[in-house]
Amino acid sequence: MDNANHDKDARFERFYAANFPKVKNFAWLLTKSEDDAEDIAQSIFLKLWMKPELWEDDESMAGYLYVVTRNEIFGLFKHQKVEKSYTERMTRSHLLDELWDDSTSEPLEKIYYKEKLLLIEMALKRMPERRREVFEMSRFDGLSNKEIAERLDMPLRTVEDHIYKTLLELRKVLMFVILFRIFP
Amino acid sequence: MKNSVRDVIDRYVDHEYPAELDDKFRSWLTDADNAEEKESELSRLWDSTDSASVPDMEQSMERMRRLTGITDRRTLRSMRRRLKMWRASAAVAVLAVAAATMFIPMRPADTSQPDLLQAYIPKAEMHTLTLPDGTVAMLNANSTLLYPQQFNGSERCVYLTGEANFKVNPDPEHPFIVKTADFQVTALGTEFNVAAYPEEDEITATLLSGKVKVEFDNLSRSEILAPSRQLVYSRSSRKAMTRDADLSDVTAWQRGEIVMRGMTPDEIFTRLARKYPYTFIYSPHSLKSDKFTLTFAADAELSEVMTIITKVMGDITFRIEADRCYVNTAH
Repeated sequence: MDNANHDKDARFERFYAANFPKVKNFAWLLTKSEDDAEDIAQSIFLKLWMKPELWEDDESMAGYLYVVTRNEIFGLFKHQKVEKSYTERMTRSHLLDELWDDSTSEPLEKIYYKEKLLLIEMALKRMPERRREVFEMSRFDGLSNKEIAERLDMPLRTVEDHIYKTLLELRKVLMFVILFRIFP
Repeated sequence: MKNSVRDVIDRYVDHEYPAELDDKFRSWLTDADNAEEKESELSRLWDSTDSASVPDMEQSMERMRRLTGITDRRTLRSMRRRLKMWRASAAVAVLAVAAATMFIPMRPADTSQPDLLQAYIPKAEMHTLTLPDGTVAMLNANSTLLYPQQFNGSERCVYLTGEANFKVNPDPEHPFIVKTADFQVTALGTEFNVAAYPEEDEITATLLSGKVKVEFDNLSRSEILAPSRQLVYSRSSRKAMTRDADLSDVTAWQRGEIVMRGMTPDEIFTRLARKYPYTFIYSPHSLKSDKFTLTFAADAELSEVMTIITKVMGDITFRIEADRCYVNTAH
């Protein structure tokens, strides 16, 4: 009895050592939190511990591990409330239309509307604080360049430059998507 | 095909964003639109996710052992083992045994002196095992690896006789050290091969990737190896040299192949005796000291191998009976 337990412990430790890193790394990429990733990975392996028939034949495990890891992560994500105002402001601003060049738009693009809004938001969030502030005042709050320059006590040329660079950057973000679509 | 879904996932995992964006990404990922594409991109991300190592693996492993009860069972086993040892030494006074029985169960698990585990690979076999830190060791036939149940302290030390290939889990804080009778290899996140069979004069360390330090001659000398360089140390002459290694030769044993370069008949039969489940019977003195280079595919039978060897050497015959291979000099 003791030996059988010992063997099971040892086999599980080997299975764990071989598979835990991928599960935790994957959860970490998507949750952006080591603590969340650790909890997700541990809870997956604890469930597996109780079902030895699933991991003792570890040939078939790879696909299964992906599915349970994905489900565990989705379980965490679905319980979250999302504040939507930023997306709504962006949608109202017609920013996408402005960035969109008519010659490249196709009916297919509607499908990826949400993806594009998210890509633009990610790009904006990674921009220098001042530049983003100027851009949001201009496109989301509808202020004129002159009003922005006065409010921020900034030369008009600087405001124009910030907006120009931001638009350029955002077009690049979207272009990246289009380019790969044309040359798959 | 590159697409918006892939772009969102790639841009998200590559950078840090404010918390409100995390929330947005999560709700986007789990909503039902374009679910099929999201699924295939996630599965692609899974395939490219590092599976070799993760920070703080030791702590995770400890936590798992506590959660699954492995720690408790291990403590119990090691207490039983100690009790057994005490009881076995019958010469010890009854009083002492009684005292020990009462004392030991109250001790917490002894973590300062980790138990050493021994992996012994018999002849004609090889085996891959994952060490507690996630390092993967592939052991060749007739090899023994001693390693702790858990790596404590500032170094990760293992003891090897024979041959093994190590894919070391990177951890710059805790160098990984392979000790053999004649030299030791210190590695930081790297893959290398150590051949240190007691019956061979030359022992070698070969670096496949990363960086290792090899210390030899009672640790009085050392050499740092670059990738695909090999250090050869002769026990008899105590001379060391480094050279470019043929990596496919060095790793041939892992694929089951036999690669022997510039070896004498004696060395060749020693090598074959490790690889095949046969005992070789021959008189070393009757054999010539000519050197031969031979390679054999992974699935070669011993009779095929010996037929070729007798043809190449010209002056020997062989006979296989049960688990023995007799080699005689032809006259």
